[in-house]
Amino acid sequence: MKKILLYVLPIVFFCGSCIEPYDFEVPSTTQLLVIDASFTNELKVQEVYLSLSYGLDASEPQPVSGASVVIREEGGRVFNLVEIMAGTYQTPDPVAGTVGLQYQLEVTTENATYASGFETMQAPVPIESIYGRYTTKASNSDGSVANGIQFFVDTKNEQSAYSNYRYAIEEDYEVRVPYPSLYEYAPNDQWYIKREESIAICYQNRPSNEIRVVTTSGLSANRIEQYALVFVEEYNSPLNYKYSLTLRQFSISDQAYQYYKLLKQNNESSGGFADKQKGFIAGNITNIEDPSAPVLGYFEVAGVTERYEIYLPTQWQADGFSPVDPLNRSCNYNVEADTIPMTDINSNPALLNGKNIYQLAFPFTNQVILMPINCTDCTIYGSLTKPDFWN
Amino acid sequence: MKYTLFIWIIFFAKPLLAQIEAPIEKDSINMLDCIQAIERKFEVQVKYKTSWVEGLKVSKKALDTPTLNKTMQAVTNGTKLSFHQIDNEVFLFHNTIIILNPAFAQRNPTSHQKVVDDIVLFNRETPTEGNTVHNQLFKVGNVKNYQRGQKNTVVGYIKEKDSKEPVEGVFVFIQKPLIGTSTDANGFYTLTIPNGPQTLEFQSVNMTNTSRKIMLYSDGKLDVDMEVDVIALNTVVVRADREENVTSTQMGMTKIDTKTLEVVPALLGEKDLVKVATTTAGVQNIGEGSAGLNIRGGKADQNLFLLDGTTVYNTNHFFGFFSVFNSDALSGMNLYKSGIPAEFGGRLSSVFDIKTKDPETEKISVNGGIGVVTSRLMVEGPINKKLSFMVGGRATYSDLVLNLLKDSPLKNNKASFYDLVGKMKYAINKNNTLTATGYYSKDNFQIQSDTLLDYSNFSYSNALANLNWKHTFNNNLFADFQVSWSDYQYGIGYDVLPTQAFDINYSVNETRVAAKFDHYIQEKLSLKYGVEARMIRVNPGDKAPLGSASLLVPDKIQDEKGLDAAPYIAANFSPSQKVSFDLGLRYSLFYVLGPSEVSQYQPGAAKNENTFIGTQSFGDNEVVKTYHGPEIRFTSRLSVSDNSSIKLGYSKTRQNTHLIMNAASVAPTDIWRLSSAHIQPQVADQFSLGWYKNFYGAKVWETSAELYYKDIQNLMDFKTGAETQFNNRIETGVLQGQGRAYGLELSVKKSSGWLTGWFNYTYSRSEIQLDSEHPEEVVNGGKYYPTGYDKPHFINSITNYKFTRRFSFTLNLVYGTGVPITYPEGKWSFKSSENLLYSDRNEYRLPDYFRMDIGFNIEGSHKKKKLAHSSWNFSIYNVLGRDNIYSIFFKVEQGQVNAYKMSVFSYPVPTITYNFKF
Repeated sequence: MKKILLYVLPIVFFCGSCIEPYDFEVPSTTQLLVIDASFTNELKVQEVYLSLSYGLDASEPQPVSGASVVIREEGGRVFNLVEIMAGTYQTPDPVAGTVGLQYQLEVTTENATYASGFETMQAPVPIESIYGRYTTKASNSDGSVANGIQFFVDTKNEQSAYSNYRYAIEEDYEVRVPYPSLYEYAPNDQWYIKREESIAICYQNRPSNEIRVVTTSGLSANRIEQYALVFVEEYNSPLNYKYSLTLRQFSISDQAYQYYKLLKQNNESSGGFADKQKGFIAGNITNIEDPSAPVLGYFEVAGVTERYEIYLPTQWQADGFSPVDPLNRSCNYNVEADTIPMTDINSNPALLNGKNIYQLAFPFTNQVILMPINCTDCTIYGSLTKPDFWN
Repeated sequence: MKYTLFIWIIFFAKPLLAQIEAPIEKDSINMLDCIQAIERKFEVQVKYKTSWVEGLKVSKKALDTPTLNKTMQAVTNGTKLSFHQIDNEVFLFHNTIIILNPAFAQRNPTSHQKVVDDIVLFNRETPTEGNTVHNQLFKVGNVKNYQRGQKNTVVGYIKEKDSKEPVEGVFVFIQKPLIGTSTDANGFYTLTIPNGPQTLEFQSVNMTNTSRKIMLYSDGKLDVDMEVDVIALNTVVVRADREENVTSTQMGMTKIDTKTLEVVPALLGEKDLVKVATTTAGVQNIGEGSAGLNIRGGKADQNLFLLDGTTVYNTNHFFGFFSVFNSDALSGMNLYKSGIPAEFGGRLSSVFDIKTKDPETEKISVNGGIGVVTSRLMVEGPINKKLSFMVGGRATYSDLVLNLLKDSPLKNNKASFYDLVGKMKYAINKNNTLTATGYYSKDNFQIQSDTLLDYSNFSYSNALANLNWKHTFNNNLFADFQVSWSDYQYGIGYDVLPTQAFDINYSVNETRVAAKFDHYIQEKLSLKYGVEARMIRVNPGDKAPLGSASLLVPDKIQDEKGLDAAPYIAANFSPSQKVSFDLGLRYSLFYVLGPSEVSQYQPGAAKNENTFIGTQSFGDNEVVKTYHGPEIRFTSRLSVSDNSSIKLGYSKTRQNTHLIMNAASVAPTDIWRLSSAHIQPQVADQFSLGWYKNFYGAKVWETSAELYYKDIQNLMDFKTGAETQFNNRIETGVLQGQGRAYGLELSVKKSSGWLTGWFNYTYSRSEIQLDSEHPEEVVNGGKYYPTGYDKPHFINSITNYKFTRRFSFTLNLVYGTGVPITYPEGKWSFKSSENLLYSDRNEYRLPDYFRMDIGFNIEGSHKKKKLAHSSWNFSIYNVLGRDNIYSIFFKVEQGQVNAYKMSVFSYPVPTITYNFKF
């Protein structure tokens, strides 16, 4: 629906840009407890995060420490979580939930006690396939188009009539700086030394911060086809070298699906009449002393399957995919490179601010070539450690 | 020169007085014979004009009298003739008195009191030839019955010059002292004024205003033909019924006629009755392009739109930029904001009673317009003496524009609408008239969709049909029988995920029968009574797979059916000139009918998916639930003086059809649902108090102030994120609570002269309270909070200046407080996403709205004989280019909270329209 307002009105009414960023005054902030808890069928240390909501202009949530966090399993098992760092609570040992059993979360802070309803663990469902296709897509707001790879997932479950899923996505990809720094400056010696470890190739990990849920309720088959995951644009592409997509598929309850759906709606607006009423979305956790006191978050109990796929850009070359590495564009050697004598650096070390020694200015070994850090050091983008599943 | 075209027919017809109607005796003779007899008997010569005496009869006995004087008196008695004898000549005069001693000759130099006598001295007929009717003096009454200083009554019929159709609602008045009246449906008026020389003025909505100089001798008759203002002169026309705001009992009513349309600058050249309504007091809309009007703090679904009595369920084209009514085909609209007459019911806030125009009966005529977005054409005329027709249509060419865009994602998009209207009128005889109206409108959109939750295809249509039989039993009893049918449907398609592609069809259908009677019991008491019944069927959603890949299982929300019946009676009682009452009673009966599977929930628990325990079955037409209650409609008027009055009103209204709209503005995808086992009827009580005063003088100023308070039960709102589109258990998302609205409307209007216009200021509040023992049903802690359409301050005004008869300028100003919105106050981190934490519902407001539009109208030549009349209309919408914000919204993008504003017309929008009529 929003597309109607976005596209039709501009054209019919010659309205160039109806939607513009808006500077608004940040209203006063109310601080509410956020309970981010999940319990899965995987054998692992299960975690619960407690924090407070924070201002729109603030960047970090404030963790809530000193709470008692307990997860109870139907049939008597009780897991007492311990706080390993501020706001992060863990089961002392790796534990796994059992499909079909019910779980309840109880959190006691210094102010109140909160309890979830009993949540049944749904059976995990295998992921059938993850694949990417080269396509053209309209960009979300301005109507321009972009080429790129759209990744999809297919999944089917013959065990039940329908399923609800939440997807968590992580991208891992190689970043290569075009002019990796071979030397570094040793201030004490007032000279350069050769780097021991190459900083040419790093590995960036990018978890998706979008909530993705889907249901097959109402369909004749419990099957998901071409559910869109991430879209990787050709321009400014992360898919220049090796790339992998890791998908975690959580089988969730109807109620959890509804909760996530509402949450998503609450975070997305188009400004048109299709927008729904915004407000507080109640989850499955309540303040047991005062049920009308709001608490944010959800206790998700889910069966999980994980699957990853590794890709190379050449896979779609025949389709026309030719990614543009943003670093190749921004690091123009003729523009950025600067050759200076070491003596200048020694007298003014500030010359190295934001720069690295890329190379020696052969044959003049007392002169070095400086390049900006973003063209010479991959560690500002990622880690030097290869993801363990990439071999 | 236009005035020379007037043809005036003046009757010095049979005066009203009984003496003139005296029965003619058997032995009467012709006046001519009688005069000859007198000439013989008294040996005199009688001088007269034959035409004066032709056809007159006198009693033979008159000749028996002894003297000439007595005989002449007997003969002329009861006629308009008078006589004067000079020697042996007797002069007969027609409606003239010869004064032998003129008043000025008798005048006492110390007294100037006898000025009145001058009248008689100047009692001379002005030659008609070469003079306009305005300068001509018309004698009314019988000069012989003239008694100076008395009051006499003028009666007459006002007809349209060409068609001879009576003109209703002409305001007939004299300036000093101000005495006025209006013509009734037959064009008849009666006005009692001081006799002597007077200037009668006639003002009417569709007619050219005129005046007559009269010499009023005694009770008499003056018929006047008025000329239609054929070509749209861009005037703010004086309301024919303008004194009505002071004299009628009705309050909270606005009449909008097609003439008013000429005045208000039109958005994109579309003249629109409903949009014009937003320039009047107490009528607000949320912003540009938002459908739905909020009247006196009422929700957009609380307005009843009737086209010739048929309910219109969606009144908007293009999401609300235009109304579905083609103005060319309309005669006008009455908008009731309070004091809704008992004959109307079913919605809480207002009634828009829109009437199509009667087809022209004289000749075929065509009119139309070419605008930026649409073009329109209408043809009307007689088929034979009794049968006449009207057919009109409108269509967009926006598809063309979209198709011209190459290499754009919009290339395959479509957006268009059209509407058609037709009417047949069959004037069977004086007492029976049959009319049939048909209407169809369609909107179509096709867009490329690429993200989840977006729709790709969308269309909706309105179909209406109406049959109406008006029957006059006698002069005191009139009946109007109506059968009507209304059908609104929409379809929506979704095709992002091929396996989940579907379309949903929705419809609401109403069949209505009504019998309405107008009964005049006596001068002081009249009754209106009747009964109205509606059968409403709703298909709240029918979901079907779209495309061969779709796995979707067809699904359907069960149909709803309801019978709404309402008998009513209303009386108008005017015990004296000063006081008048309208008391109406309508009894609303609503039957929720099966077949139905009614969801049951755990007793005492909040209604949601978890407390759902099963369903209860009801068979076809089995009554699931009955809602009923009386609706009292009362208005009263107390005249404080000739030109001011105070009115008091109370009305109760009940509503059983609810638009499930989960946003402040109306969307075409909103669904009408009926009251059901779980959805309660909305009930409103409105109290209003008004003060009306007209200032007469060279120019008339009308002023009014109305105060109101409205209490609404079961006002609807929704849980956050409630699914309203396709929901089998809609009650799990709906919240109903107490609503209240109150306000003050101030209005000033100047309706004559070169500079005309109106200015309204409205203060209004609209609030709702949602409280419950269940936390999920509580909004904002159970306290009253402003509704999404609460706009405390609202100003709208129209100013029109006529430079010449052919060129005029209009200025439109609108100011309103921004509507409430829900702002994010914080964010929170959950599952590596950033989420918004919102404020209380509607805690903040958008910036204020202000807009100025200008319009110029240039008329073609005013020659009436021209083959075609045309006019050019230029307008600039939002001439200041002010960036009025339609909505502010927030998105979480890559973990960042970004705010955006959306404005629809943030720059001036010029438009040019060419109109023609031939």
